[in-house]
Amino acid sequence: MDIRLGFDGQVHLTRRKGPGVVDVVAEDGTEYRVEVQRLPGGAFTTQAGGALHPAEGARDGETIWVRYRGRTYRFTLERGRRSRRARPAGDLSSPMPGQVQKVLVAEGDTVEIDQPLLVVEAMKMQLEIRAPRTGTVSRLLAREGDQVEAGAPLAEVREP
Amino acid sequence: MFTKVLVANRGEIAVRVLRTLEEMGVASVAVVSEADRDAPHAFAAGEVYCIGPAPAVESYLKTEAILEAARTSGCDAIHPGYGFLSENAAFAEACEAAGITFIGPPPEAIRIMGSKTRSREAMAAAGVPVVPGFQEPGAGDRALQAAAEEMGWPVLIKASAGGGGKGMRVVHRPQDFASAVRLARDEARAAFGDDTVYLERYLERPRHIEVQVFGDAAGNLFHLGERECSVQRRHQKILEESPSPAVDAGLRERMGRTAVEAARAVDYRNAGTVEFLLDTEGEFHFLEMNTRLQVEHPVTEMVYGVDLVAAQVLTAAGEPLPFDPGALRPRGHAIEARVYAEDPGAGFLPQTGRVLRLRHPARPGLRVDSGLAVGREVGTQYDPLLAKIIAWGESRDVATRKLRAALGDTLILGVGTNVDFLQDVLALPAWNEGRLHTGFLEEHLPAWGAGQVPPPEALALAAEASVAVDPRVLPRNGTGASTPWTRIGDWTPLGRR
Repeated sequence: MDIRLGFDGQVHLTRRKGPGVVDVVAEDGTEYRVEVQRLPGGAFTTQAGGALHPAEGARDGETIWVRYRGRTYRFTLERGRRSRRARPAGDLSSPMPGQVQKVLVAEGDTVEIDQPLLVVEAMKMQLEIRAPRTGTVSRLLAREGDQVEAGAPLAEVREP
Repeated sequence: MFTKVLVANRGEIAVRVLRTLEEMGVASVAVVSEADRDAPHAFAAGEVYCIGPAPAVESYLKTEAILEAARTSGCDAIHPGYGFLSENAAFAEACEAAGITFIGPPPEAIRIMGSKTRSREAMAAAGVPVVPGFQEPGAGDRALQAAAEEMGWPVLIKASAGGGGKGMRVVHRPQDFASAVRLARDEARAAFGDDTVYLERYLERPRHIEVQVFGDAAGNLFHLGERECSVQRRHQKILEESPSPAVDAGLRERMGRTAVEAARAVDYRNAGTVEFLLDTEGEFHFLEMNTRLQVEHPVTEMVYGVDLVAAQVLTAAGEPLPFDPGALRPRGHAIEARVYAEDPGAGFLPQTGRVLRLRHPARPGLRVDSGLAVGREVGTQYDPLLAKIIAWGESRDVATRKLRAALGDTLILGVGTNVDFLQDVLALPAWNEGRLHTGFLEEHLPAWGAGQVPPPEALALAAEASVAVDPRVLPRNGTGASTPWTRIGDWTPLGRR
């Protein structure tokens, strides 16, 4: 069974060959076999190339958390056949849940790189969303007063 | 001694204060918002009262609701913790008017030191050196711009009514000043209800050194050494320690004496902290005084062997302290790491989620003050500080290694935290050499987490975890729906909310 895992914008492919046996597929196609044993209480051990390491994981819907050798990882379960399309460079999304306080531009406006386009307020902080490039505001997807989630698209800036 | 004390706060500090009250044999009352009914601090008190809906402004900041709970439960004192109403002079006065002792300094001291502009004036009058700045409460944005031009760049814009980095902005270029002031005012208005700002000369590579002061019931003012809190992001501290690697005995004596004089200038009582900036020439300048217990007070407690909350309660009750201030001697070194719900790899943006798995570290010489519990939601309603991990060692080196190890033991799954980041900071040569200043993180770890690649073992684990049903994952509050995963096999969810 193929299981695709998203991490920090990249998608990784794994193949579960059976209970506790997972082949991790590298970009060049080579496979690296890891044995995973589930322990009572929800912990795991992993074994690859000899050494046994304890680890912990938890799943909440499509998010899977793993703590392995002192590092915490957050993966997302990727459904569908193709890797997640990387978001085009001119798309701006809300970095965190909050409320749009101010919209400083309109669709069709020409903007400079770093020009503030919107202000989002969350946790009593005001965050300026700035133009990632010089260009035209091709779409404005939020209005003042809108509540937004993390990752919610706010605006698009395209080449002039 | 008081019959019963209400703790007007939440999270780790409420738990910590309630624990001391329990140890002192004083009855206690906790207050919770609707979102905190099952919070750890609710279980740390003798009685609990719900004081309003989740938003702080409708619960933890509501004076009348808190006083109502105190009256109903028969409390004769209130401990405000830090943040919320702890530095609100009107709240302190409302307590006194209701015949309830406010565990803290006199309201007038709160008022003076709570206004950054008035406090700077009081310090200047008392001969305490201050950071050069411009404060005129009624000044408009244009007047501020003119003052900034005259002071010279870079300039720091700060909120007069608050702290914690909110409403604070550094401006390097004149053309950025106008929008920076507007944003700072908006933040200050949202956080403190007051958009008054003032300016300070921004010192390059300063060290943030603060002194713990205390005024006992008999009116004696003394200090318990310094803490260094230079490692910050967004002007908020993330690592603090006592003693400071930059402070020798002579400097400690001078800063301690100055801090006590600052407190004396406002007739201070109870616990307080005088914050200074130490510049690269070895000169220190008054920054502000916090008229409350600070988040990082544990490092002082561990080095001096005292319980500052107990001292606060005794002082407020008019009783003597259980130690002789003149006999206080620091021993060893303590370092505190603040565990925040934020992603250091994404601009330290606050993270939300539900705590799925949790393990607090425990080992000799370690102290953990936490407000976390499995199943709790971490949202954007409250400050993202989740827990504090404090390590004590005979030397700074030992304390550093112990804290690093403890962070490695810390397990928090379900919400992103800065635990891994803190471990990496403590491994930096610059940290170990004590070469600290407030720009430390920008200098040494500007792009932490970028390009991180998960090892195959972590991926395999995630793959396996995605398939196996986890019996301890609780269904989300309010969904009501069961999923295929909760019906397969022998696993049964532990509960449905």
